[in-house]
Amino acid sequence: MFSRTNFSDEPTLIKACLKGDRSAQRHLYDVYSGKFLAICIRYLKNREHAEDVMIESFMKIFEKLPQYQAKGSFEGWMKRIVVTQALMTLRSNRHLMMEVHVEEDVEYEHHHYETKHLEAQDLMELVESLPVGYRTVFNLYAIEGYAHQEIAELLGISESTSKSQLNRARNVLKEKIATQQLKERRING
Amino acid sequence: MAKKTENMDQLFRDKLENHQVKPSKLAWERLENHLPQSKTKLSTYWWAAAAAILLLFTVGSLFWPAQNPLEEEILAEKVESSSNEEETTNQVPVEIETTENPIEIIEEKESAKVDKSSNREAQPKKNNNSSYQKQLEPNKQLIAQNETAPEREAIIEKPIAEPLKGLEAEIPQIKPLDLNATVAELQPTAEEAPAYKVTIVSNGIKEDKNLISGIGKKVDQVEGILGKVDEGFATLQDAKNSLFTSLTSKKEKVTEKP
Repeated sequence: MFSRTNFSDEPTLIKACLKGDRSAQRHLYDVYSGKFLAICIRYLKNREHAEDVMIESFMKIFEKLPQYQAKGSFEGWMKRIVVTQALMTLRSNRHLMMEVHVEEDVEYEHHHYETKHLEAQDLMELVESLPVGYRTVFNLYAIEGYAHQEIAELLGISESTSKSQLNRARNVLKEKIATQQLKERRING
Repeated sequence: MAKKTENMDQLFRDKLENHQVKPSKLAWERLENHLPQSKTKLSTYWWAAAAAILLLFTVGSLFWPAQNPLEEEILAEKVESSSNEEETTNQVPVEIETTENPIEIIEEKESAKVDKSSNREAQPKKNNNSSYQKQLEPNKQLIAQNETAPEREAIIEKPIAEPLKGLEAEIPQIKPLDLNATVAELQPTAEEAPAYKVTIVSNGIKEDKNLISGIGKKVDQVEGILGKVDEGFATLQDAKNSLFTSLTSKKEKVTEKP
């Protein structure tokens, strides 16, 4: 209580959190809340909504902590909880997972783009601009590193749908980057 | 082409995987509200409660000794006065039964003497009540002797006569009692004498209303005295202030003059 314990050691931090130590819980929150909120924003777009989901995720993390077995990375385990929480709210709120964009397959390949100058904030905006279905699959596959099979199970879609959604997401992103750069070139002359 | 798309995935992953967005300050509070009460917090509450109780006790003990003697005194006074009252009120009928015999005899035989003795000892009324009680028992024995040796009573009359004046108001009601009947009644009462004492004690406790009201009166009196003291102090201060002001003003005048 009066001595500030150093929670730099992950197992001790987990142990303290398991005991219900409020300062340990706070420490865990301070370390990961920013990351988790960013994840939630990628899935849910709306920042306030995303913060709600981030808080719910932490509740789930503390709740499920006794089930955590120190096999994989603790952060990975927590991230999975955050992602599932975000997907659950997406599904319950707007049935958007079932949304399939029937679009003509457009050829995006000839767009030329540069990615070196893009910063995290630009990429966040690009991801947020994607339609919900594309965005979810792109997030899961490209950033979180889930396999198509897993994504299909999580979202209740087929593997091929997952793959096609991912491809479309990529193409939309490429296009957007290319058009942005075109605009910039025109402005710069 | 595949390389390019993978590069793009890689770019997004690298930049966004560890991207952070600072949550609002309220977010933690909202989370904390949903978390179960932490053990450390609970223990701190217990400590706080314990500390509060301890503080109460210490403060109480600081103020207790100052108030205690006063209260005890008041209580003692109350008990004495109330017990005296009860003795006189409750015991009067009993006493009358026992004392009447000698009284009537005395009145018949030596009424002049009774008047003198009662006049002499009329002053220490309160104490007489208790002393008279003690004399009750010998009296009862003497009642028997009254019939056989009435002359001796003259000696004992003096202490017995004391309560006469106080009891006179109630005596008339029981006066018509026959001597023989009262004597008959006395013998059982003499045996049960200790039982009477018990009832007196219990009566003393039963009359709480008088006790409390009496204590209240005493407290009021004390408060009144304190109020007077405060008033006196205030007037004293006023006088002092006026004195000082007059002195300083005089000094100023004096200094101004030259």
